[in-house]
Amino acid sequence: MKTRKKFFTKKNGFIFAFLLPGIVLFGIIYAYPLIDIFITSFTKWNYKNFLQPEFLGWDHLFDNYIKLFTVDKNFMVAFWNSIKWVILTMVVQIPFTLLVALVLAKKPRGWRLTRNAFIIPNIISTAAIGLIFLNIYSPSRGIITEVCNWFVPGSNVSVLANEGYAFWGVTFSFILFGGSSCLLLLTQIFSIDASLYEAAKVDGATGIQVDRLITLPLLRPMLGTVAVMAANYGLLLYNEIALITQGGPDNATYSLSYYIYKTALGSTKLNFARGNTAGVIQFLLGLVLVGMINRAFRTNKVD
Amino acid sequence: MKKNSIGQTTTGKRVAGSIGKYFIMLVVLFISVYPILWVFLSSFKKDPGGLSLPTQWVFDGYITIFTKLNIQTYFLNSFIVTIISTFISVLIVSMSAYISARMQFKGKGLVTLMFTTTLFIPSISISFPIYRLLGDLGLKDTRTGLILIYSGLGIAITFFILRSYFQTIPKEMEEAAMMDGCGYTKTFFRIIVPIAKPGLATAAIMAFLNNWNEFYFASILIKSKDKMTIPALLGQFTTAYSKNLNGMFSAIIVAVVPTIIIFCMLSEVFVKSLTAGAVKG
Repeated sequence: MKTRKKFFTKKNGFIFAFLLPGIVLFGIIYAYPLIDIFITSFTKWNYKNFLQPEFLGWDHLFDNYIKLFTVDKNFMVAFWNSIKWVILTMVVQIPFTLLVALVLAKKPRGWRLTRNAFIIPNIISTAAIGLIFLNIYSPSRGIITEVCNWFVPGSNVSVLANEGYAFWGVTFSFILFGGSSCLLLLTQIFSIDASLYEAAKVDGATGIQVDRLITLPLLRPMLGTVAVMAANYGLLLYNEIALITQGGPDNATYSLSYYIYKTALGSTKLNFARGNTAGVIQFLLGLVLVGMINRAFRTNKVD
Repeated sequence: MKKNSIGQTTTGKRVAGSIGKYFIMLVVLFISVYPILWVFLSSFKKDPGGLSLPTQWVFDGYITIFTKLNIQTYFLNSFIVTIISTFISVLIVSMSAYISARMQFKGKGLVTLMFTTTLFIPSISISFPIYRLLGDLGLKDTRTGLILIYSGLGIAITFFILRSYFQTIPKEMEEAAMMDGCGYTKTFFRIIVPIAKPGLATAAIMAFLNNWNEFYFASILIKSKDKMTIPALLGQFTTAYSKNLNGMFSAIIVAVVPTIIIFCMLSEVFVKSLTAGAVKG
């Protein structure tokens, strides 16, 4: 009796009432769908049995997973493309953004303008960016074909019609736009104790030495955060593909997200179970990635 | 560590250094501004596209999208969906974040973990169950359905920003209010919310931006044209309007310019918002 009385206090009632809406929202938007894709990834569920997923049975439990990696060509393309995009954000976007942040941190004339301009591609809708690049790549009205014709007259490159080029077309519609990451790095650099720089100056360190020996080590945790965000973006890439290539030409620019959309929602051979299985894989891949990046950028010294 | 005195750095090196700096800045400016500028100039051409400047300025595209396409409708939809969902998510998450920041109770760790892990759940991987759930609720192809999804999508970021903001508010504030006989709920809405306004504004700006630009759910859920948001409308241009090039180029400009103007006016606020929660000063 006593414990019961203690549990139903005014304070607990308040805690419960204040948490409830958040928990309900979490349940609807995240928990239920996440559990659902895990469960249905072990079922047979497509346009033939639209209403009721069928359990695959214990012997065939992982059939969907096995099929994705053995039979489904589009999935394999999507899987490797997504991995390539993740790697490209790590080797292109992060170093480029870091370089820009280090340059702007010296506060050269016009640094604020440059910083703000760099943020613009990140705050306008990616649908607009996608549409812009779709036009830029267009042979009839774009500019890439025209520019290529200056160097190789008559080459008439059509970025989106060529399997190899289309991948890079999608890549360049997002890979250099690290404005918000740059902003995060820049803010972190400005928060570094100025006396450290003073001391380095007294010791006669050059600009590059200061960057390498003071700024970079102190920037490491933030670089980790920014790297996680960028890698996630690469892994989840969808909008740019939907607007620029629609997975083409010949399904060469599928990403995991685009595969999930196409498989579960956007084609005639609706295969819900397989789409959800790909969703599970995408989710797990993201967790592995975050773990790896956190590990790589973890600072060894705790101070 | 090598020690060079500053005096030894030759002027040549320094000049090369600053040329390098300005070159990088120019590259950044070019890639950030040129694509939009190109679309802007093209939108006035009789034959949109190409590298040249317009020889003859044509305003057909803009006239079409305001008169025939009724872009106002899409703006209104975007506004309704974005504002309501931003309000709901900031309200709900601020309540949870407050509890997580301030109260001691069993299962607190679990609740906090729950909100933070949403950051790692990709919305597209779980989109099919959400799509079906909305169908069951009769919310497919409705703005209400979109509002429901958007209210939940940004939970993690809002939670991070608000939780860390609430933690900076001194506990004495609440204690004093409690002494004066304010209940918990009243204390939160009357005392804490006004103090936390800057944090709430930051969270709201982030949520607003994300919801305003959201494309995936808008494009799969909304099929009727009169309910589409601006990003969903832009998605239509890949096929439906590709014949009306002036219209397409003008629509891109009309879609992005408000964001850019607001950003230019409030750039410092934006800069603060975008870095909030992540940077320890």
